[in-house]
Amino acid sequence: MLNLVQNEFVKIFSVLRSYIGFVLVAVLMPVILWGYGLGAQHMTLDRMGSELTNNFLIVGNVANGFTAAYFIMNFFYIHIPFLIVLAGGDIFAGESARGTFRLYATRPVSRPAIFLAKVIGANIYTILLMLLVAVMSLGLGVLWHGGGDMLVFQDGILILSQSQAWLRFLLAYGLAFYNMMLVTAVAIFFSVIVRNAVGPVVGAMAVIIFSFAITGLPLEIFDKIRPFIFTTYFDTWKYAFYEPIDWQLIRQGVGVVSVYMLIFLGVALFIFRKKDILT
Amino acid sequence: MSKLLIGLLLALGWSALVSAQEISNDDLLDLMRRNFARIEDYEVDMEVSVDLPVLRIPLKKIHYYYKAPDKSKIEARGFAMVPKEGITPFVQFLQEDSLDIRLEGRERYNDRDVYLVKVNNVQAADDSTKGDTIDLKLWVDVSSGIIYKGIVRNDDADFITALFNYEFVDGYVWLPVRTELEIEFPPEVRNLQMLGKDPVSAKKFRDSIKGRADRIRGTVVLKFSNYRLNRGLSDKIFEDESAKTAQ
Repeated sequence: MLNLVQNEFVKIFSVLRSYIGFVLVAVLMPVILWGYGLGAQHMTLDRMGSELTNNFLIVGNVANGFTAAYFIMNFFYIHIPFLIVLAGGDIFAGESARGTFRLYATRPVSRPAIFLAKVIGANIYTILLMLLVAVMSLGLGVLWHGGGDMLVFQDGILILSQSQAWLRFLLAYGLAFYNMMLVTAVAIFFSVIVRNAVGPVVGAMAVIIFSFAITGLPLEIFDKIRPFIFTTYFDTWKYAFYEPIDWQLIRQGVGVVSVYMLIFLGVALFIFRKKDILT
Repeated sequence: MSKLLIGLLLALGWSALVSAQEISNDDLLDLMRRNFARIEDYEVDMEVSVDLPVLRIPLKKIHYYYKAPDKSKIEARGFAMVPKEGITPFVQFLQEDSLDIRLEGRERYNDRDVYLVKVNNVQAADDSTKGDTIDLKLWVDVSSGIIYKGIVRNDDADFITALFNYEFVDGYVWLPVRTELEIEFPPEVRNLQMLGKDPVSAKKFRDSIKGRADRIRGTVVLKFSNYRLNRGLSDKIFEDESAKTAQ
């Protein structure tokens, strides 16, 4: 299995588009952190409102690497799925498009083993991308802007101490990675049913955009279906920063995401096992 | 009706008599300033917990320096917010030259004799309020002049109610050991609770607060310990950036 996973890993990184996400994160994060450094203190105090700041003496500031990484997570969790699907979408369909599947499937390895290796390979790509996001936002952010107490939005403003912040980020990145595993599963699902490399990427993106639209548009007509849409739970990582941590909402989010993940991967495996490989 | 009028006149007359007999306005102001005027400098450890519906800061340890007449500095690890009225009970307001001060009467407060004092049209302490004035209502100890309770009123509403407990530091001066402030904010401050909400949650929140005119209320508690009084604090302590922030 280890060799199979290694093969998949090599294949993922032999495709140029797999690097797009890494390059984007590596370039974008420093730019955001640079911009944050220019206007963060002003922005933070503005958000607190003059009614609060007028009545208090304020010492120190929350414009630091932790708060920067939190702001980055707040907007980036919607966009990172589009980078994740690039690898997952290619993992089966790319083989079909290149015509290597028939040779691969003639080896004495079961299809579930091939499937599992590809799922693990795609998820390694996902975790590497998430790790880069963490390193470039939190790691670089703390190096650049220093540490300290961080600002969090929870029914207003909540200040978390530096000692709490590290653990909260660990949990938040863990939850974000788990959600991105679902994105990978969606991409794998499309990759199994389509034979060209572009289709799964576009298909997975379409599903995610559609789901985000239902989740994000404040229209009453979507209120009843919103709880059943998986992207509704993509912000579960936010609860890691709540005080106290909202484990109930985290469990709910992880539960729904797990169910969807099993459905997408289960159906994908079923299709893959039954599939005639003709290319 | 005539009895009522007589009663009212007697009450007014008694009130005026009490005021006239008790203490003049100048003496009252001297009394309130006297305690803090003994201080040349001090430093103290503080614990601050902020629990407002729109702002929560878990317990924070800070160190406060003061040097007469107007230097102060707060040191904290990380970020801290301390209510301006909480550390030195209304001392800053009482330093003004022309205060519209009025003795409203005398009463018992927590088994102590206190003057009930109104101070009107006090200039708010910072520039940000654009020349707004506030009114103070103070419960002032008859003998020591320390303030046990104060209400700050602005725009026809009480927005800070402060309760002070003291200790007699070094047998020389009364300084607070615990301050509890109940702070009220106008309803608009509730909008801060929208921060970070996604559009759906923001819409639900907006719907839930639509038409609500009730003010937002929260509590800040400050606990003081380890007072070090009149030890000759150096001016250098107050020269760095954080000192400027805190003053």
